[in-house]
Amino acid sequence: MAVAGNYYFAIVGHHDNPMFEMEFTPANKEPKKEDHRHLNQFIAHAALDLVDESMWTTGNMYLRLVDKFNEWYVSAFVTAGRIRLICLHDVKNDDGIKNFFMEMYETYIKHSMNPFYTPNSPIKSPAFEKKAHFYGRKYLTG
Amino acid sequence: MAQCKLTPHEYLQNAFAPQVAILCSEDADNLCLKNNLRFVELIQPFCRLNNEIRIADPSGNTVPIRNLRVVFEDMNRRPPQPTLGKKLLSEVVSTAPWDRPTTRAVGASGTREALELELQPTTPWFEAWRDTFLHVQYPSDHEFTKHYIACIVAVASTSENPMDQLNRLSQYQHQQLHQTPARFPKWFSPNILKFYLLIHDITAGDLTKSEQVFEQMTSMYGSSNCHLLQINSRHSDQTDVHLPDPWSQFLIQRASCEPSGGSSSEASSGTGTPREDVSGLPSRVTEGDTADCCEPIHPLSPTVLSIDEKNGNVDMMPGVEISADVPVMVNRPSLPAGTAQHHGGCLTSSDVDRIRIFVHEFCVRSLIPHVERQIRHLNDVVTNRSRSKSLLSATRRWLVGNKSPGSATNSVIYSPEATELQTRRLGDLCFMFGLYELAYSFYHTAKNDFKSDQAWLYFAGAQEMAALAAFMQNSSDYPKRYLENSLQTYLNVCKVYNFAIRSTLLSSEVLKHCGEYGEAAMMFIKLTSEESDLLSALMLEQAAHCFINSQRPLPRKYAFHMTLAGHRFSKAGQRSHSLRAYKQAFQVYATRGWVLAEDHIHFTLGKQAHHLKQLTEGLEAYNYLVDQRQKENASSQQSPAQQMTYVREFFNTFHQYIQQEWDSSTGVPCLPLPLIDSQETRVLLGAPQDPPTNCEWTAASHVSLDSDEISKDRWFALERELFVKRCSSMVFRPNLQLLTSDTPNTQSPVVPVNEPVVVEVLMKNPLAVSLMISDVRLVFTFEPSSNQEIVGAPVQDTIYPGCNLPAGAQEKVRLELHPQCTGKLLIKGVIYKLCLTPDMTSGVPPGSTTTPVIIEGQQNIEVKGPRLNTTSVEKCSVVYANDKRLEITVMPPMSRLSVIFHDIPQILSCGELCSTDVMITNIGPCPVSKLKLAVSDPNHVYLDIQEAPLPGVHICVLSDSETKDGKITSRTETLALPNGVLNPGDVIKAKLWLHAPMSPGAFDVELLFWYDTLNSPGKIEYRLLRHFSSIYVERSLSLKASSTMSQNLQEFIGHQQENEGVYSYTSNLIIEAHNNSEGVPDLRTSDLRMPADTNEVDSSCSSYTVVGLSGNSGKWAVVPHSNLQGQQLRPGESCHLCVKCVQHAKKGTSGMILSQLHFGSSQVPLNSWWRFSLRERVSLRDLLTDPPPPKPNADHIPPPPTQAQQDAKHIAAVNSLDMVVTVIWKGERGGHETWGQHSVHLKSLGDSVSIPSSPLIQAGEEEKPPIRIIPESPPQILQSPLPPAFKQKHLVKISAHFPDCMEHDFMTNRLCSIEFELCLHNCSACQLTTFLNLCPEGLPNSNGNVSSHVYSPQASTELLYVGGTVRKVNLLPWGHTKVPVRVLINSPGTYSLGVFSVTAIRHEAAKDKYEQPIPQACQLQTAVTVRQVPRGDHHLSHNT
Repeated sequence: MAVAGNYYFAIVGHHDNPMFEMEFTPANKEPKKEDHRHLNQFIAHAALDLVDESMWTTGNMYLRLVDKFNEWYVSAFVTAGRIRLICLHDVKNDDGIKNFFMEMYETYIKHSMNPFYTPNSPIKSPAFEKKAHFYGRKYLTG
Repeated sequence: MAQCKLTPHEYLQNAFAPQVAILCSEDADNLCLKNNLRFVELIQPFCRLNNEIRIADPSGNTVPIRNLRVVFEDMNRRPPQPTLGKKLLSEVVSTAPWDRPTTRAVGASGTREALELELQPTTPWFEAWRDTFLHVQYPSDHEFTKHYIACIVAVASTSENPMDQLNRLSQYQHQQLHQTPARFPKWFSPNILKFYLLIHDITAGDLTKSEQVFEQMTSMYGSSNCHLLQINSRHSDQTDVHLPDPWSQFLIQRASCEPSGGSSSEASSGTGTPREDVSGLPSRVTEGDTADCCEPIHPLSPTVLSIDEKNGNVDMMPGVEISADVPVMVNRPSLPAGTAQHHGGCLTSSDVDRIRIFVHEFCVRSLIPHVERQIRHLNDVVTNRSRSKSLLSATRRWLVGNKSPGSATNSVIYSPEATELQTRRLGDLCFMFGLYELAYSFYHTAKNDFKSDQAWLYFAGAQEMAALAAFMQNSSDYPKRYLENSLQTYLNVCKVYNFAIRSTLLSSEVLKHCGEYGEAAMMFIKLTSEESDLLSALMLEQAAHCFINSQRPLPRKYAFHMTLAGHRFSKAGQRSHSLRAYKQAFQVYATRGWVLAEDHIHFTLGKQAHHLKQLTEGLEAYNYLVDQRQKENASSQQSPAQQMTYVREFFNTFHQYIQQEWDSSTGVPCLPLPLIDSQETRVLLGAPQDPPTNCEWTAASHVSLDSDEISKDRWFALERELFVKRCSSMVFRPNLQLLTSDTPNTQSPVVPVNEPVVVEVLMKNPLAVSLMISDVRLVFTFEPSSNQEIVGAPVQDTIYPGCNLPAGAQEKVRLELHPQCTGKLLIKGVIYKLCLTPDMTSGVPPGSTTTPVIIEGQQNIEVKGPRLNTTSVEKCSVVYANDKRLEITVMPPMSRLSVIFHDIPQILSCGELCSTDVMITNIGPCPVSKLKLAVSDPNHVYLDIQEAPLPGVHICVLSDSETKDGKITSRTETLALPNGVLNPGDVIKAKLWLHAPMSPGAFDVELLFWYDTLNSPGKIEYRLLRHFSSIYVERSLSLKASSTMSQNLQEFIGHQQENEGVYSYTSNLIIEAHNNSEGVPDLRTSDLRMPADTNEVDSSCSSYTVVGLSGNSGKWAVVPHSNLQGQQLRPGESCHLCVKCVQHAKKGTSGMILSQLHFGSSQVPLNSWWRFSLRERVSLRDLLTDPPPPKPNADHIPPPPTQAQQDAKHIAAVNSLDMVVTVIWKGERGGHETWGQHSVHLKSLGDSVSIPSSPLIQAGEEEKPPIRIIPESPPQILQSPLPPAFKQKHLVKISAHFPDCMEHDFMTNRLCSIEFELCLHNCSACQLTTFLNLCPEGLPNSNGNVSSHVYSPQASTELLYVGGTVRKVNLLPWGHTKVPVRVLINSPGTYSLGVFSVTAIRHEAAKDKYEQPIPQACQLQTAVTVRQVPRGDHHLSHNT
C-alpha cells in the first residue's frame, strides 16, 4: 500500500531527548550511507519547533506535515502526554504514516505501563523494536 | 541578537546614497599621501552631513534631509573581477572582528524547556560582507542609484599649472561621460554636476599663489562650483599625534578597485548593445549561461593581490593597462588599519574641520541645487511625455494582456532617454535625497510601465524601490508583496542573483524591522544554493538569528540553521566562523541524546579547531567523541570505521597538543580511553600464600583477586565470631585483605612493610576499535612516617607490560606496590600509553614507516562508598560514604602465617570421615602469640593438634570438659601453641578432620585462621588467613531410625544403683540403613554392555558395610538386643538393626553417656568419629544471622521456677530420649578403605527420623498452608507450660507379677479367683495422683457383648476385677506403689489382664480440680492362661 521511500522515525521526550529512533528503508533499496544519518537527527530536532507551534492549532494528535527540509518531509504526532512522534519521509504517504503513528502510539503506551520503565528515558526493548519494525514494514516501506 | 548597528532606515539610506565621482590629479593625490591617504580616502570619514539640510521638491515644498550621506568614489574605480570579488568578500568576512557572545535566556514554550543560550549579539562580519557586497556591485542600467551624480575634479595648488590640469581632467571626464558605447563609469545623466577643488598644502605651498589660482577657477567655473581646501598644516615628522583615526574603519574594507581602463577584460566582452556593456552579469543572462551566473561574484582587478606584500609595487596582471593620464596610487597604506600606520599625520583639527566644511559646502551649495534642478527638469519631462505615452501603453496593455512575469525572456531594451527610464531616474533621485513620497509615485508609475512592456528586470527594480520608498516614508504600511514579487522576478525570471541578494538584504531588514522574522528567515534561506558556500553560510546564519529573535523563539530551528551555516562556512574556508557557528548550535543539542548529531558537531569542531591550531579546543571536541563515560544512556552509534577516524584524529591531536601546548610541569594529561571503572578497582593487601615445595601439599587458598567474592559475608561472619569472643565490647570491623566496592572501606587499610599491595584496575574498551595499552603504572604518593631514614625508593612498583584491548573487551590490569618503609600510601590513578592496535589484516608492508601514534596519559581513580541513607540530609540529597581503599597505611612488620594441607580429597561420600595433615608455619619476622581457628561448619570440620583417643569400652561417660569444649559448641576454637608462642620459622602439625555432610553436592570447607603478632605495635591487632576448598559429596547411605517406648521395665543395669526407687526404663530402637548410592549393582557384572559408565562407578564407593552403632544421650545407652552382624550393602539394598535403649543411671546430672556397639571384631580406626556424633546434637545458628544481642544484665538471676514449671519440666523429661544415634560404616573407594558415619538425632520417644530425608517425604510435604500475613486469630498465649496431653501418656507404668499359667478346676468352683499386685511406677520427677479404674466403661470388655466366635485369636478380656475397682494412688517422684487386686474368671482360657485404665494428674493440680487427669498409655500387656485341671489334680496357685 505504501510507496517505497525512506523513513526515519523518532520518539522525542519532554526534554527534546530522543527516546527511540529507527530508520526504514525499502527492502529492495540499499540503506542510506552512514555519513548522512546525523542529518535525520538534525532535521527531526529542528522540526520540533514547528511541532510545538502546530500542535496548538489542531485538536488532533496527528499533525500531518509540519516541516520540510530539502527532500525530507516531516510529519508529527503528539501524544496526550506531550511525547512527540516524528517521522521523516521523502515520499508522501499520509495514511500510512498516520496508521503507523497510531500503532506506535499504542505500542508506546503499553511500553510505558511497564513499571520498570522510567518515563522519558530511552526505550531499549527488543520487543518494542520488533513492533516498530513490523509496523514500519506494514505501513511505511510496504 | 544579531542586530545591525544601523537602523533599517539608515541602512537603506546608506545603500542608496548619491554617488559622487572624484577625479583627482596625481599631484593632489601625492599631497594627500603625506597622510598615508589618498584624496578619496581622506574625505571618506566626512561624507555624512551631521546637520539637517533642506531640499525643495518640484512643487516648491522644502523637505528636510537628515544625515545625508554622499559616497565619494574614485572615478576610475571599477568593481572587482569575479574571482577577486569572491576573495575580497571572503577576506572581509574572515577579518571582521566579533564581539563575545552574550548569554540570553530563551523562555520555555510549547513542550520546550527554557534554555540559556550564548548568542551573538551582532554579526559584524555579515554587515561588513553586506557593505562590501554592495560596494563591489556593478552599476546596472535599470537603475541609477549607483550612477555618479556629480564629479569633483581635484588638483593640487603645488602642481605646475593647476588651471591647465583642471581643464585637462575636466576634458577627460567629459570624454568619459559621452563616450560611446557607454562604459564605466556610469553617469546619472548627461548633465552632471561638476565641482572643482583646489587642494592647498599649507606647509609646502604658497597660499597667495593658490588663492590666485582659485580666483581663476571661480571666474571660469562659477563660484558655487569651486572650493579651496587647505590641508597639511603640520609636518609629517611631528609624531605627537593625538587625533583619533577616523579613517581606519573605512580602510578595512577598502576595495582596491584599481582602474582597469577601457580595455579591461570584462569590458571587452561588452560590445554592441549598451545593456551588455553594463555588467557582466546581465549579459550572461541573455546568453543563457545560467550555470555561471549564479555566483554572487563581482569582477575585480586582480592587481590587489600582491599589493600589500610588495608594499606599493603594483603587480600588474597581463592585459591590464593603465591610461597615462589616470593617476595611479603608488603608495598604498597597508592594511589593516590601526596596526602599522597612522593616518592623517599631517592634519590638524582645523584641517579636519576644513575638510568637513568642504563636504558641507559641496552638498549644500552645489549638489542640492543641482539635484533640485534635475528633479524639476525630469519631472517636466516625465509629466509631459507620460500623457502621450499612456495611450500607447494602454493600447499595448490591451493587446498583450496583463502578463505576469512568467517564462518571458527579458528582451526589452530602452534607449537611455526613454520616458520609462526617466521616470525611474527621477524616482531614484528623489529616493536618494529623501523625497520618498515623490519617489514612491514615480517608482509606481515606472513599475506599471515596465510591467506592461514586460521588461522584467526593470519592473522588478522599480517594484523593489517602490516598496522601499513606501517603507521609508511610513515604515508600518508598505507593500510587502512588492518585495516578494521583485525577489521572485530577480530569481526566477531574470536570474540576476546579485540583485536578488541585494533585494534580500534590503527587504530582510525591512521585515525584521516590522517583526516578521519568520518571513525574513525564509527569504534568507531562499538564497542558499549549492554554488556559493560563503553566501549560503551567511544567509543561513542570518536565518538562524531570525529564528531565535522572533517573538516566539525557535531555538531548534536556530540550532539547525547554525549547524548548516557552520557547515557552509567550513566549505567556504571560514574556519573560525564555522567553529563559532557549530559551537553556538551545539548549545541546543548538548546532553539531549542526539548522539549522531552531537558526534557530527564535535567532529567538525575538532577538525576546525585543529586546523586553526586551537588544540585545546580541538582536543576537547575529540575527547568528547571518544569519551564514553558520560554516555551511559546513549552509546556511540557510529560505525567502527567512523570511530576509528575519531580515535585516530583524537590521537593525532592529543599528540600535537602534548608536544606544543601542554605544560609538562603540571603532570600528565588525562585520557578518556579506555574506560576505567573506578568502583571496580580492587586492592589486595599482603602476599599470597606461597605454594609449598612438595607437590603433595597444597597451600591455603587465602584471599586472591581471582577468588569469587560471593562468600565474603561468610568470612566476615566467621571473623566476627572470633572477634566477639575476644573483645565483645568493641564494634566489629572486618580486617580486610581484599578491598572492593562491596567491602566497608571507611577505614584506611593497613599493610605491613615489605608485603605487597596489589591493585587491580578494570579497563574497558567502549569503542568498536581495538586499542593497545602498554606500560601501565600506578600513580601514587607516599608519605613516610617521620622517624625513619629512607634508603632508596620507599615504594617499589611494577609495570604492567600491556595488552591489546579488542573492541568492547575489558581487561583486569594488576599492578603491585612494595612499600619498603612505613608511612601512608595514596594511590591516585594509573598512567599508561595508548595507541591503536596496528592492523594486522590490512597488510601494511613491514617496511612502512607509519608507526602508530602512541600517546601517554593518565586517568584518576576515584572511588566512593555506598550511598548513605540514614539521616534526613542524606536521604534528601545524594551523599556517598568515604571510601579509603586507595589510602593505605604501611605498618611495621608483622608475623605471617603459612598453612599447608596434605592432600585434601576432591570427592567424598555422604557422611564419610577423613583426615588430612596440616602444617602451620610462622613465616613472618615476628612471633605469633595466639592462634585461633574458626570454621563455618564445625559439625563437619574439626582441627586437632593433640589427638584425644576414646576408651574402647562399651559405655563411657564423657565429662563436661569433653563434651562442652569449644569445638562442639561454637565455630571457633583456640589452638594451643607450644610454649604459648609460635616463633618465626616454627611449625605446628595438626590434623584436619572432615565429615562429609549428609546431603550430596558441594561441601565447602571454610577455615579462618586468626593470629596476632606478639607485642604488635600498630592498631592492627590480628591477621587472618583463609582457606577454602570445595569437596564434591556423593550419595551413600540413608538412615532411618525410629524409637518406640517399651512397656517393660528393665532389670537394673549394673549395681551402681543407689538411688532407691529409680527404675531403668527401656525403649526399642529400629535402624534401617539403605544404600542409595548411584552405582548400579548390575553394572559391575554386565559391564560389557555399558563399559563407558564403569569409570563413574569405579570412582565412587558403592558398597558399604555397617560396622558399628553408637548412641550418645544424657541418660540413655544402647545395648544389643540380639547378636548383630555387619551386613554389606550394595546399591539399592538395605538392612535393619534393632537395638534396645536403656536408661543409664549415672552420678550427677551432667555428662554425656556414650555407648558403642561394634559388630563383629572390626574396630573403628578413626579417633574422631565420636566428636562428630556429639556435634550432631549442636545446632548452630546460621552463620550470616546477627549474633543475639548480649543480655542486658548478665548478673540477673532468674526467679526460681515455680512448682508448676518444675513439674512441667519433669513431665516433659519423661518422654525425652535425646539421643544421637550414629551408624558407623565402612566402604571402599579406589582400593582404599573409607570410613564414615551417619547420625540421627532422636529427640523424644516414638520419634522416627530419616536422614537424608527421603524425596518421597519431601514431595508429600510440598502442600503447604497458605502464608498468612495477618494471622487469622491472635496467637493463643499458652497458659500452661505443660506439654500437650499426648506427650503425657507415659507418666505411669504398670507392672504385675503373677504366673503365666495356672490351673483351676472349674467343675468344682465355677469361679476362679486370681489375686495379685499391680505395681504403679511413677516415671517422672513430680508427685502424681493416679486413678486406677479397674472397670472402665469404654473398654471392649463390656459384659453384654459376648463374642460369638468359637475361636478368638486375642486373649480374652472376659474377666472381672473385683474388690475396689477405682483406686486413687499417690505416687511420689520416681516412686512406686503396689495395689493388690483380685480377678474373677469363669472359664478356662487365656485372659488379658490389662482391662483397666489409668489416669494420672499432677498432685498439685489434683487439689484445685483445675486440670483433668490424663489417661495413660500403660497397658498391662501380659496375659494369664487358666486351664481346667485334670480331675483329681487341683491346686490353686497364687502369685507371690
